[in-house]
Amino acid sequence: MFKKLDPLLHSELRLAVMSVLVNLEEADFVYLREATGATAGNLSVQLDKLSEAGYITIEKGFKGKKPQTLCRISPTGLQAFADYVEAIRSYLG
Amino acid sequence: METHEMTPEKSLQIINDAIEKSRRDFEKNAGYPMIIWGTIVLIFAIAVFIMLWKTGNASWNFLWFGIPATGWPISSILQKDRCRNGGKSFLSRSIGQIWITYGIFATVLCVVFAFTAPHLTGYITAVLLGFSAAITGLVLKNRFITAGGFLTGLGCTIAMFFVQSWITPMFFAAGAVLNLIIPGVMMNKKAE
Repeated sequence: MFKKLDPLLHSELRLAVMSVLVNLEEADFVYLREATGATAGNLSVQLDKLSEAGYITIEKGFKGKKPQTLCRISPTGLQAFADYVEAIRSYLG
Repeated sequence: METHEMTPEKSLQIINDAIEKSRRDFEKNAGYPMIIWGTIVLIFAIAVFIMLWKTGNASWNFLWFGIPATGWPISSILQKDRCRNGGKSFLSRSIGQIWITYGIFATVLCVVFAFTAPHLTGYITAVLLGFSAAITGLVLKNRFITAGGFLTGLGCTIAMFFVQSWITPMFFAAGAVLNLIIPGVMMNKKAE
């Protein structure tokens, strides 16, 4: 019996973002954009979706005089990611 | 990167790529601070050794304070451009905290020993260096760094009983090469 895949994570960019964040304590917007190769606009939209689902937290502030957006994975997001990996493994046997 | 549907294989590939990138980013940035600090420690240890050897004046042990005094600004300047890394991992934070703690303890103990037992200053800082390197090696699961750390820490602890002269800074110099410069070069090579 195949497990149901979380539709929020079963998307290339959102999964890439979550995979990066699961390995880091935090990552800023620029780092995520470089790591995923996404456009700023698309990344911003997907980050909002993950944030609305409670999978990540977004903190907007400043580093020196430059604006900085920091993203962190939440415990809910971590659990969702673990469930997703488990589901993927069931598909791959 | 698009947001379309994908296969389980593609999903695993994305996850693997992210883990690999995280590892590469850490290794890319980890070697340089070790080389910078190792070189600074080496220069000052040799300088203290030469001055103690030539003059026999223990006051030259105060030269040890030149390590944090020059190390922090030089390290900050040289690392400024290199460390444009907006991703902070638990591993990189832990390693950074180990060495900051080392710096604080080494500086405070240098102050104490410079006034009370200057001939032991080189040993104490080298023992702490070995201790910090051993923990770093264990965290990184790097046998060379771990072994070098234990060798430096335990070797200098034992040597303290037998050698108490102007040659002691060279133990610290050897520790810098073994625990900072060589591992730093190795990590950079691996990252390339």
